[in-house]
Amino acid sequence: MGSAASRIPTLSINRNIGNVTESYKNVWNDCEILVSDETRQILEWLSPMAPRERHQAVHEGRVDGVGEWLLRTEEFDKWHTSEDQAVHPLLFCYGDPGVGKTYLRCVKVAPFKYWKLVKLT
Amino acid sequence: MSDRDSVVVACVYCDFHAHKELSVTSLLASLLKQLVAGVEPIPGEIKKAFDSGKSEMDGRALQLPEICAMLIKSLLSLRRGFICIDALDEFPAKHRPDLWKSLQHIIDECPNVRLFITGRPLIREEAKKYLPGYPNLPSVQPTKEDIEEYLAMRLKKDPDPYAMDRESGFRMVGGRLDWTS
Repeated sequence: MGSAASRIPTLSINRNIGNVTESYKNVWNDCEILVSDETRQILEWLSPMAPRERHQAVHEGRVDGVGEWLLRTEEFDKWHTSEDQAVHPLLFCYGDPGVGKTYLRCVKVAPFKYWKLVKLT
Repeated sequence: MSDRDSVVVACVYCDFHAHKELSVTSLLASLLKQLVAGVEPIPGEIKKAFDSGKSEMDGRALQLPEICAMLIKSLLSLRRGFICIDALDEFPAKHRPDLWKSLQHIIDECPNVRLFITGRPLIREEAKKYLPGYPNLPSVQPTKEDIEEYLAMRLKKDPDPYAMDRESGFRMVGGRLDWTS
């Protein structure tokens, strides 16, 4: 992702969250979220999987410019922006192993920019 | 929980080596975790399920229908939700029909959701089979320029570039990278 997207601001969603011992690094939404111990426990209970570590590794290993062609295709533009319900909700990228599918990004700008944190106090 | 201006991306990377932990339930639970990670306090029904699970001997985990329902509710509260699944062909084949059914249910219920899936070509046929009712499936294929840019970067960082046999090299053959000597 670009330089703006690699910026990871730290946000406190709600200051009245009690004891905070660990932050939850929500890397694909480019923000670091402070959560209470209880919320962290609930998140771990929901899923022990940690895809964010893998995402971070992919993010760091990505070569600038790789996959940029995708954002300029008509298929992407329609899929990404159209509100039309007739548009296919799935965009599929296919190819043999090693051709770079994992390193594509499917949002034009960091989603963080869209975040409206109404609960920020 | 509602933030109609939010756009959230949730990703899952499938891996052959993690077959034991990959199931429809675990994949959707991972997506749900990412969606609610930015919500404080955590949605009441999830907290309630957690508290009730804690009181049981085995700490009961959420079941697939519950996860699906919570996922849909979370996604509908957003302006746009992007679900990315990388290397779907590495998700266990025996569970893929059920995963497709769950994904279809989610996109049927959530018109604001977009799926981005990568995989080998065989997944394209599965997508057509399991997500009927939509016009042409948009699909794209990485370009050889991506591989060239990646290789150029790696060669630039090569600590011993003169060790390479200049007579040999990489060639693109039928969309794949081959070493020719």
